[in-house]
Amino acid sequence: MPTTATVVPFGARAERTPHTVTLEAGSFTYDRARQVNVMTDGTGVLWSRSATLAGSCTNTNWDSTNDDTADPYVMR
Amino acid sequence: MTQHLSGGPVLVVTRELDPAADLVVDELTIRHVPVMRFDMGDFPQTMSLSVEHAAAPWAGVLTDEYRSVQLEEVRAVYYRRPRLPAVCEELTEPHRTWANEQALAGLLGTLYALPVLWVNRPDVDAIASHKAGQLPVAAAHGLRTPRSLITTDPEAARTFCRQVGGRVICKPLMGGPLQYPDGRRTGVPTHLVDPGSVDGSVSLTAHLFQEWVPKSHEVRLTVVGTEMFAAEIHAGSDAARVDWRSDYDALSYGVGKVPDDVRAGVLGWLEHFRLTFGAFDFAVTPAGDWVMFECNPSGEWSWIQNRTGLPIAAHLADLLAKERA
Repeated sequence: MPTTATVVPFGARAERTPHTVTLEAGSFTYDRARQVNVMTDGTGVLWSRSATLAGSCTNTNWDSTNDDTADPYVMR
Repeated sequence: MTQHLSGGPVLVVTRELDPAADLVVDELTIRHVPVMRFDMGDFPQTMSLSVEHAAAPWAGVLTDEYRSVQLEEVRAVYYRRPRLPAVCEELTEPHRTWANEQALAGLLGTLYALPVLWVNRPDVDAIASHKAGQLPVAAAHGLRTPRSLITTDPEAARTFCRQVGGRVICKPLMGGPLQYPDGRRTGVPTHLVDPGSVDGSVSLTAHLFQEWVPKSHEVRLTVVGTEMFAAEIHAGSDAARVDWRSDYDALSYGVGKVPDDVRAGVLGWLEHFRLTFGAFDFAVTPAGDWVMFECNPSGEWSWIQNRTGLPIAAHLADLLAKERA
């Protein structure tokens, strides 16, 4: 049986802070007519096409819950 | 004023902050396909549902503050990252939990009953997401997979390391963060195992060990229907070479070609699980062999499109826009 010193599962010892992306508050907004997020600089450009988001994957495997599945019954 | 959508609308089920869904909604709009995007978390407080069944499939109206659709006219559902339904705060326990469960079963159950294309049904995603199930199915479809061990037995883990005779990695059996009471959130990436460090804590839960696969590079293979988008991921640091998710700044991207045998295996794999979308992770060995690690049935793809220019959103829109049978 594991001792007190081994209460962290072996596989979890490599845990680390996941990659995160800092979003600039107010730089985009949800456009209810277009049903997309757009830049607030007046261009109407999709936030998802902006340079600030171009290189980010913030939702895959070990840094999120729902890359594997978005099943609401499982998420609970 | 609520706008009624006719002409075979597509339902996009996700939260507002979902840039990947934005890209698909935009592509559908370009194709003049009516779209109702909503978050299940707004149901039933600012959304309503009223459907009736006699002999035919369910027919009736789903509406929010801005749009409404006749559900029998819906042509496809794109299911991404919605919140769960949330009833009004005036309800207290145990009626609150009961009512939330009723709301989920009523809304999602009705959508499930629609005879339309889904990308993907979340219950199907859930079955397909288990790595333990993924690997044998991949091998059965001719895909090369890493030798793997799932165990709670430390000695079995040590024996596996010896038998592999080379480097071994350990990875979570499913994604998800470690959520600390103080709000901190961490994750567990794929990591190399020092066989000498394997101890009794393996018995605390199930662990997945795999042989290390030498890599020239990795491929995130996004599949939309039968269309394949292979993004090469080249790692420029030790951490990224073990798990590219560990060091995004060290990554460079390219566009690759999918070998015919891999293509056939992947399509068979998706058909087995009845998926219309999947984000596969492959290693490509120095000899050029593709080794499948896993498939993320609800995997992210927008950053791949942004990095490589692969037209994933456009093909998702094409798939969703197909006329219902």
